[in-house]
Amino acid sequence: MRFDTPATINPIDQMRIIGQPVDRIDGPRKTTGTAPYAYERHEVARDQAYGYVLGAGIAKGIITAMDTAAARAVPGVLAIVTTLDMPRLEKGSMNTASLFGGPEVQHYHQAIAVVVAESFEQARDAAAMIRVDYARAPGRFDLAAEASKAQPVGADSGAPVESRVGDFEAAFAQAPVTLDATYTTPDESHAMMEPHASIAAWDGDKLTLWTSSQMIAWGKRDLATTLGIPAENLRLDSPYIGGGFGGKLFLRADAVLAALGARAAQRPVKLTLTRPLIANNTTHRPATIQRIRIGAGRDGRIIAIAHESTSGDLPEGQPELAVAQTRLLYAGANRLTAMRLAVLDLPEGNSMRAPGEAPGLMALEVAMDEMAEKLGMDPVEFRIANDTQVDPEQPDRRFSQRQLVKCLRLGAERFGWSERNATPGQRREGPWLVGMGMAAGFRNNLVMPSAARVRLDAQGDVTVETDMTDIGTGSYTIIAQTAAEMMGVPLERVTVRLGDSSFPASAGSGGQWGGNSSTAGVYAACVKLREAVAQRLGFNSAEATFVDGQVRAGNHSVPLGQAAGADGIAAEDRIEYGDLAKRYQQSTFAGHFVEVGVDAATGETRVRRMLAVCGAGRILNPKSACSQVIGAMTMGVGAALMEELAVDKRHGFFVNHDLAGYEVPVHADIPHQEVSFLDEADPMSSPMKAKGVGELGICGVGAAISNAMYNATGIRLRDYPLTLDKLIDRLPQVA
Amino acid sequence: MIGASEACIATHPSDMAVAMRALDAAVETVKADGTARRIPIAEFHHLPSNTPHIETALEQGEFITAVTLPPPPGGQHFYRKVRDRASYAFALVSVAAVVQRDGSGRVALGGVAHKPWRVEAAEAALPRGAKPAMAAILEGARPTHENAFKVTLAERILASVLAEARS
Repeated sequence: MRFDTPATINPIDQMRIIGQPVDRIDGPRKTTGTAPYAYERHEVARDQAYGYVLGAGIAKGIITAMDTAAARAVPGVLAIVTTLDMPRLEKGSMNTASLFGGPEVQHYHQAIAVVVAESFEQARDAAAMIRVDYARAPGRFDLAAEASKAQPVGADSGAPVESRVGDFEAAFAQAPVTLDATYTTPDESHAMMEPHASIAAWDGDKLTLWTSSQMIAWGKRDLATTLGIPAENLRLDSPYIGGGFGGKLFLRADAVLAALGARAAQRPVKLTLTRPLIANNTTHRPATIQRIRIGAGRDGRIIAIAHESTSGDLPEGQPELAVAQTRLLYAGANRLTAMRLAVLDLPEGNSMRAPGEAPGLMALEVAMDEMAEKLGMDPVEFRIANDTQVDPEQPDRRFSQRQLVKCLRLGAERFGWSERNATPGQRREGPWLVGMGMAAGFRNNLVMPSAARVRLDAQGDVTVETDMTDIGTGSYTIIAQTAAEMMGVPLERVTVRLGDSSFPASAGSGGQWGGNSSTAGVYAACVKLREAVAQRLGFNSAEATFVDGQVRAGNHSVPLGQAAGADGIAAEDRIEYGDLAKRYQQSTFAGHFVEVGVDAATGETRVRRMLAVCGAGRILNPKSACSQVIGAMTMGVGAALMEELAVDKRHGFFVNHDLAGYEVPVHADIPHQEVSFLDEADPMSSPMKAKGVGELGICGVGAAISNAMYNATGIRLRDYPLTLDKLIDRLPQVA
Repeated sequence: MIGASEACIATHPSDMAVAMRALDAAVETVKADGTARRIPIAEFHHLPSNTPHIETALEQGEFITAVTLPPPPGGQHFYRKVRDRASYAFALVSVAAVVQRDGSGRVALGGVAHKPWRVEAAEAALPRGAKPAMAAILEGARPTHENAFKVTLAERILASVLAEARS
């Protein structure tokens, strides 16, 4: 199905099942431990041996020798494969750093060996006995030090290295009120609950990989490339995933080394990246240095706005797209955005939840708060005064739907924003300095082709198969809701099977495109199935309705099972997109409101309450969507207050590579969160009229917290995370 | 940032031992050969020196059987633990304090040294306030760029403790 004209009325609009806050259908399996994750799939292959990955102990250089004799003598060891056993393996199209092979070390903890043994402990013990000789090379590990050498870079290869409208410099120079400030965000780790894990089993030259991946089709394609085998000899299966946040978008070392280990040991191999390996072996959100300049008239209208961001990555890497939202969020005739990329020899920087907007808004929305103060305007009103209904760089491109103003107004009302004292540092409750802050949330809505197969059987039951993944987001449930709505059956008559590369290729889970795109693919397959059913019954498919387990047309009504016949009936289709996303800007919007307390003596900051009002198209399931936004807001608290991969600038690695040292919020940090959604349906996004929400929830949260801390204390911090060591010298004297 | 050596700047992470240090607890142990002994908590934890792997007075095969506290010293007792998140984190700095009605008292610090940090001689400065007291407690500290904030933080925590004791 090609989606190239705005959606009109369709069966999804009935919203009998779509749009209902139903419990997740995989919930009972999750809560009873019967939803097996990759490392727990003991039954899929007999005689599974254990793999253990050894990571490089230097950040950059050459391995001159590896002595595995002592390791091979460890009881239970079945095979050892080292990076010196083969030339560098070909990289998958989504990888920057090599995953294995050859003597060169590109970053710390890059995989250099896998040990396969009868037990995990034996494999780990043997791995520790591998002696490695390195010739260490100097590396570049300090973004601030390398920033002056950073090169201009576009969003992707071939894209312009900067965007310009009007004459920013002239307009900024003449603006009556201006801000020129620099903000920094640190490297961050996905810190998902389930580590990367894979079980690999060869059958001749065919490989099955039970794994934990957000993107099955990418993983299959890139693993085939890296192993040098035809993709058709490969099957990936990933039905349950314990979080990803972008960390499992791409092929990683667990998959490659499970496959190599299994081939060497001639046994199925089970392998996980241990927690201390993940921060440096895999990808992370890169640190940024962002300069923002805003010029406005005294009426509060932005005349000039510029956002420049510098980040770093390995050679051939990508920039963090931190300027993305600044091209679209606010009006202003004179505009400039630009990115620069420095070469760093730290582990690979790559996507993490809302890449671009998440760190970009942590800067932009603080700058907006600073400007509002300079203008003597309320921060909500300043944003509303600069709202735009068109792409400010291309004013003939309208937003498909943009209700940011409504999000902000409704949020302000619900949160009690009028109680905020505009003069900072005025509200004291016991030991706490209390403040309120807000920020706009913004994240583009991306659409991706997505296919599904839907089968109707003689009992009238519906089965959906697609390689879509559920990374804890609720994919199973909204896909079941879609099929139930389309086929006119209750939810419990639908079975959803996900994550298997033998199923039709889906959008996968990333970039908050998964929910809308994958259900649109299921919609397309259901439309085809409805046509096939109608045709079999001799009904006019345009007239046929599917309600209460029946197909009806005119005076005729046939039970679905009977219509399916003894052999059942199946249909497969794929949603593809025309140029609506080019003609109209599709984005999602939020108003984030936060109240914090800052301990006046110690500078400890604790969030007291949070509210997000989101405008993100049709909400397919308010319960799972709300969970997504709550989780993202929590991640935003982490980004604002505590998350930081600490760089050892001498040896070139992230020091705090576990969940004790890399702090994310705990329950006690998250007291009260409220989420509400505007009642929207965006006919430009897909037949589902839905958009993404999973990343919108983090976008703007960090800035709202920062602004609340400023309102509480009168201290403006511009370097994340906003930890107490940065406040302590500027707090009022202890009584 | 104090009591560290070239070999080690790691800080002692526990909370309980810090409070025990302020309360003059004693650690009762039994050795592998069955002999028992009683170690004052002040002598229990070691500074790193050039043997950072030896963290306590415990010998090979010796284990703790009891920790005993002397009779309560009176006064108000405080334990303040400061950290970047609300739970499940080691202290950046913790302060265990006993403050008497006349302003005298005891202070032990966590998160600043390789062992719970207490300087009894410095406590004479306590009635004069947090600033002179903490300056005396942390005399000789060699903070790095990364942990210099702990000097200010320790003083501010103590100041808020003393303020609360007065109120």
